[in-house]
Amino acid sequence: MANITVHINGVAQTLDVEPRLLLVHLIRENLNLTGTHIGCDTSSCGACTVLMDGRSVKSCTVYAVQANGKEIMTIEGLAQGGLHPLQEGFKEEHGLQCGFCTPGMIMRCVDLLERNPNPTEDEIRWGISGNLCRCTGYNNIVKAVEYAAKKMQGAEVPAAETVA
Amino acid sequence: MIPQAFNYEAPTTLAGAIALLQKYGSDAKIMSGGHSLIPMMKLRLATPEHVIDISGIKGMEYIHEEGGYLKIGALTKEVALEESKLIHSKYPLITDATKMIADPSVRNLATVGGNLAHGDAANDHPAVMLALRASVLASGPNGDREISIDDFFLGFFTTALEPDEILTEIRIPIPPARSGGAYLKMERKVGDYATAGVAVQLSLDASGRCHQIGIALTNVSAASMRSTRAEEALRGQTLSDDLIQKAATMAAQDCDPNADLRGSVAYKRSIVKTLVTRAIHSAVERAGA
Amino acid sequence: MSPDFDPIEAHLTMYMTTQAPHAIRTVIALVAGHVGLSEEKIRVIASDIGGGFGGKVPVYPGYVIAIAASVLIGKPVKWIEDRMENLQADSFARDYDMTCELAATKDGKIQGLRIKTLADHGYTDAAANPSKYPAGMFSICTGSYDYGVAFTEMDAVYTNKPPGGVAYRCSFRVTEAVHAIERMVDRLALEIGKDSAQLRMENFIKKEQFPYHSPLGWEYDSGDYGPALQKAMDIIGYDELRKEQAEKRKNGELMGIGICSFTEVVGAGPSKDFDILGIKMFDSAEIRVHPTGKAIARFGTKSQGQGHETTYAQIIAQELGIPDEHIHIEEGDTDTAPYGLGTYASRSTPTAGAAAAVAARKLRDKARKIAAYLLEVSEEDLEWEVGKFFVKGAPEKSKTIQELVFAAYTNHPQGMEAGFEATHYYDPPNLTFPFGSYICVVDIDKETGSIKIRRFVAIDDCGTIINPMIVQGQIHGGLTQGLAPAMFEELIYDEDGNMLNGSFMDYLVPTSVESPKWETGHTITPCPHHPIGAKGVGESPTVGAPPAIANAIIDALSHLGVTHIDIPITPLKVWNILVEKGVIEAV
Ligand SMILES: Cc1cc2nc3c(=O)[nH]c(=O)nc-3n(C[C@H](O)[C@H](O)[C@H](O)COP(=O)(O)OP(=O)(O)OC[C@H]3O[C@@H](n4cnc5c(N)ncnc54)[C@H](O)[C@@H]3O)c2cc1C
Ligand code: FES
Ligand code: FES
Repeated sequence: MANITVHINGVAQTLDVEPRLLLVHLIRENLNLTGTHIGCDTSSCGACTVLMDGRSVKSCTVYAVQANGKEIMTIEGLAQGGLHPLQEGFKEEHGLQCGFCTPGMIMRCVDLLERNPNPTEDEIRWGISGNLCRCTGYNNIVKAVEYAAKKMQGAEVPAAETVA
Repeated sequence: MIPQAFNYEAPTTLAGAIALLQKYGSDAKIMSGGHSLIPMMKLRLATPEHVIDISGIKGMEYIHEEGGYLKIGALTKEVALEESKLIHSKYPLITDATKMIADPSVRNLATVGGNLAHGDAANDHPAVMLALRASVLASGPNGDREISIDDFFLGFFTTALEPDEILTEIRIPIPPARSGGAYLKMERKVGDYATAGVAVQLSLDASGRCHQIGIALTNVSAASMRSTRAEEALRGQTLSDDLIQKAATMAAQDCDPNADLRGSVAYKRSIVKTLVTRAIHSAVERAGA
Repeated sequence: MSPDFDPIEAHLTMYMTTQAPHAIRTVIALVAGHVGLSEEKIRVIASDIGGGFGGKVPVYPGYVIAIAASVLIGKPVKWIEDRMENLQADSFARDYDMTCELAATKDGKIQGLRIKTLADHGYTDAAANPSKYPAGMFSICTGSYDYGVAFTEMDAVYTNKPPGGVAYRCSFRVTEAVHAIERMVDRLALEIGKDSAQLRMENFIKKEQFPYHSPLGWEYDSGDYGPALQKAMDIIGYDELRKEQAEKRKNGELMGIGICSFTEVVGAGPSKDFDILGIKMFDSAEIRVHPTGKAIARFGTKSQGQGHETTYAQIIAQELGIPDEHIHIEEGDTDTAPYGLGTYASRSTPTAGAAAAVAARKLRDKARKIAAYLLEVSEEDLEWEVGKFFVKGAPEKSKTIQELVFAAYTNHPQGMEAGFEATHYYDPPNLTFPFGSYICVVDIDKETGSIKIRRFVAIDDCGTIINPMIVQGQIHGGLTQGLAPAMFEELIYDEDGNMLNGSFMDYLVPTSVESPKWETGHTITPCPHHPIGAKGVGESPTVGAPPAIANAIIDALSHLGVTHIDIPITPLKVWNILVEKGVIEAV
């Protein structure tokens, strides 16, 4: 057993964990934050994406002990007095259907926009290429990220256009 | 997917890490970014009794030029390479390759040292470093030794590192003026390991002839390899389309791919030929020919 | 899934990710009723937990074992399946070997179709088909074209693979049927040297022919195929593309244009023909409006991300005039929801959506009676405008739906049943037949075989569109799921039956980079028999995309004598063909 302190969504949590405990299991099982999902066994899908010290990581490919002393943010910690612009973007632009990929997708995009506040469509597509979505065909995820990018730069974003 | 239980150590100094390696011997595994090791542990393809996490060791994450070399700390993350202006402007080959490695979240943790030390011919940096004529620095109980990259990859998942050695730095000779490089990778989808990958780094002399060239290949042999025959065919020559084709064919003949889900042997060889040709053209263009 | 058996109450609660909670409950009661799992003691709760796409319809062995374990130990048990287990042991969609023959006159008038299929169904059949349709609705294979005769037969075989035949985002074998006919039409075009768009236009069933009786026995409800194809051609610039292709061919470059003009059959189904294990394939809605005019509506279906909460609320809002934000939608709890067969086969809007409209209309009728009573006029003197009844010629004399609902609880006419609730079990008179035309343009890198989808235009006609954004989202997603089997996804076995690609490292789910930027549009040909004219849309794109993509790739190679390539069409396959045709040389 290792004793670790992890700051999850701003709250320090001190726990005894087995070294082999994966961060995703710490988050889901020990801390009951089930917004972070597991979609594969091979680090391929990104459903488990969280922020570690501000950078997106696949929490199924990180041991909980590696997060000792680090800041972890999950989807549950993102909304601060109202939805985060990305959450709003996914809602407005219909960027999710079943929602399974969504928490991971959004956490990935927090990092993406942090480093590249005004990405092109191509940059968004490459930026989310480690996150699989089975439902949306990605078009509206791209739009959701564009929406958030605009919003985060202070622009008024018009309500989603009527489509089809 | 739960790995087998293990003992976890997180030394904060290089000396401490080496001491642990000496103590635990072959039962221990170094972990840098963990993005090759942990997936293998989850599938129980790797079952080390001790995992020595070196990511907390300070001073092993850097990218700078010094004494004629580009020096990259072993713990430098892929994302740092990807974002480095220095790399982008002078070592486009590295930028090309880095962008094709896995996906952004993996690149946030995976390290260049781990990518080389893993000794996996499917990884992309080995070919990059072979083409760049790099060397690596290994630190062990008896101090540091520099290993030429040509002597580093010994075979299938085998490197020249001793069990108690840690790879600490990668050194790349600063390319002369009129140099260029490119990395091209055929993959089944984004994030996949290469069906075949090709790294080319070259420099041209004043008359536009190929002065120096490195050509190396990903995932078409048990260990990442250079195609020295192709290099020799081009060194000192004016790079005509014809000659490039010839050299590319040599590279394709010299590699030794396996048939697998990514393709047949003939297919992979042909991909190598095409990618070598294209990478040389792109490198020449970048060299400002 | 987590069964939780309470030994004292002999009550089983199952939390699970099923698409058909009611059917699951009944199945369990039917097979285990005699050991105490009686239907009133079983509660299935399907909450929001990821997409379904057909894979979450069947009862899996893991469910049974978990239930047995919970009953045995009297404690909750959780059965989880990791991705590798899922890929290796779960039911797969299809392994179809189809031999197709199309008869036509020399100038391309289609005369008849014959398809013989050998279908691998694994060690046990996983196809949850309607009872009377052991081969699903494969007989839609005659497609969008008008001709008199067709024959199809299918042999299903058992093998040592996992259970096969899940209708993956497909209304029971329509994907295969559409692939067969749409490939054959392209094959015919090639054979007689006619443009494939032209050939389709000439053979389409005409608008006036609907309702159309297909040679294999379906009654197509409505359709207008030409305009959909024309629209797709206009958007993509079909004629210019063909010119560009001719130029490129001269230079040895490979570019292809592929069309698919599919007809779908969804919305199962009319009780005279459709049942699963004898349970008729109706679906249901129950609307309960509270005194303050706010409603809860429950359904026998279960959204897997299709946005039922939005669509159903909109239908009720439209019919009843209660704002959709005041309508709470609930599905998936067998203790509270009315009985229904669930969500799959694009059936939710055609069945439960229709049930919502009919139930809402029942309530509107009741509201009319109350309005007549309150306004002291006869019912015939009242006019409905969304949200209120008013007296003909005296619009100032009116009652809003909220006032009428309140009256139903506080001041209803004597003799009338109090309250404001309605339930409807909708038994569709026919299936619905959405259609569309898709056009795909690909560029092929001759030396590597790499295929790039340059553009993809999808024109869908799903009848009345209730929520454009949801419909468009369904289409985007379905297109990527159609791209998957066309170019990437396949379960690969060696000769001994071992799966070679049982993880997401090698089972290649397309990412945002492989997936092109889909361009969508629509035509609207309402369904004549659905209360609001809607047809269902979820599966059209999964069904329509694979042949469009395959046709495009094959078109790019057709001048070399290539007439067919099995999907998935990978760069490796294309490269092999190019070598074989002498276009390139292997090292
Ligand atoms: C989904 C996914 C996709 C990927 N795709 C690609 C790809 O396309 N191309 C590619 O190149 N890579 C790919 N990778 C691998 C990724 O880049 C690896 O993380 C990287 O190769 C190893 O770096 P690491 O720091 O994670 O090493 P670790 O996993 O920590 O270590 C790898 C091995 O090297 C040893 N080691 C690590 N550091 C040292 C050191 N300093 N000294 C001595 N030994 C050391 C370890 O003991 C271990 O055996 C992928 C990984 C994942 C999870
Ligand atoms: S669970 Fe799939 S990448 Fe982590
Ligand atoms: S919304 Fe269902 S997986 Fe992305």
